[in-house]
Amino acid sequence: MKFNSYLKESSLSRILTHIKGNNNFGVILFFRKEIPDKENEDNYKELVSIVRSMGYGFIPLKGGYIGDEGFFAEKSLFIPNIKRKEIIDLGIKYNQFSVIHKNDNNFALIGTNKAAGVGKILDTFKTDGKGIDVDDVGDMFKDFFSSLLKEFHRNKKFLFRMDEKIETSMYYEKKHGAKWKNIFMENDELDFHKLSKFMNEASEEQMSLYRQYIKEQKPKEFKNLVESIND
Amino acid sequence: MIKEAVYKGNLGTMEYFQLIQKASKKEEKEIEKAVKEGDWDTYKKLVKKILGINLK
Repeated sequence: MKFNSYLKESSLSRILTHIKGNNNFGVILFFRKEIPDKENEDNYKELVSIVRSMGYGFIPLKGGYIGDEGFFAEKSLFIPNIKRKEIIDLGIKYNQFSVIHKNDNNFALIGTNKAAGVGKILDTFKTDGKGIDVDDVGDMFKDFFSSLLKEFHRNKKFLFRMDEKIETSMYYEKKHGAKWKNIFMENDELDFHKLSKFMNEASEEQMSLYRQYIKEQKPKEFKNLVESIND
Repeated sequence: MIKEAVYKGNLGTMEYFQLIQKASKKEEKEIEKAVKEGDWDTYKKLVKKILGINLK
């Protein structure tokens, strides 16, 4: 991962404290492809206002994939302390497919419309925050966004990046739009010499995994495999 | 697909996946041979031929 010192102070570290701690939190992605961008934007602003009125703080994030048409990003809110029912209700109100919520029982992707099954646990994430550090948060969010975007991006596996919203004055935002800063970019680089060494020294079992990861398009596992022989 | 690799001596993992998946059996063997031998120039030519991407 390419992180700089800024990140240690960024939302990633704030998010990490929630993931590692015992507090509830929720993530709601905001996107409905069947409605115009303007309406999506208005609904997003309304959602922000509702979350504020519920007395919660939040971290606005934008995550998605860099593909043929540039950065395809969706906005989301990371909401510390929100109760499960509350975030499910927000997901229902804005007709989202699913939301993410962590409480004492589990850390799960939960359906919020008919197609997904309202309240149905669709997937679960690792609940034990021990051993997670700030460098893992980007990857965790990749999993979150992949789950939340599954409905829209079937079989698309491009590079993942995540931005956080930078607070500006209302005047600035009205004139120039919201300001976002990249805080996580999936590192896709593969060192040719490491790959070469791997190809020369890999066992049959490792070569079998090499082919499997290519077939299944698993870049992270693939890189770890290649680098395991170079360690 | 990422249009251009911007790093020298490195390749994108996803590009590599696409390269292998788009290559014919014969080309795949040529790629593996070039990688094993650390032959960056031949590898670059194969990437250009199969994916149309210019590596630095």
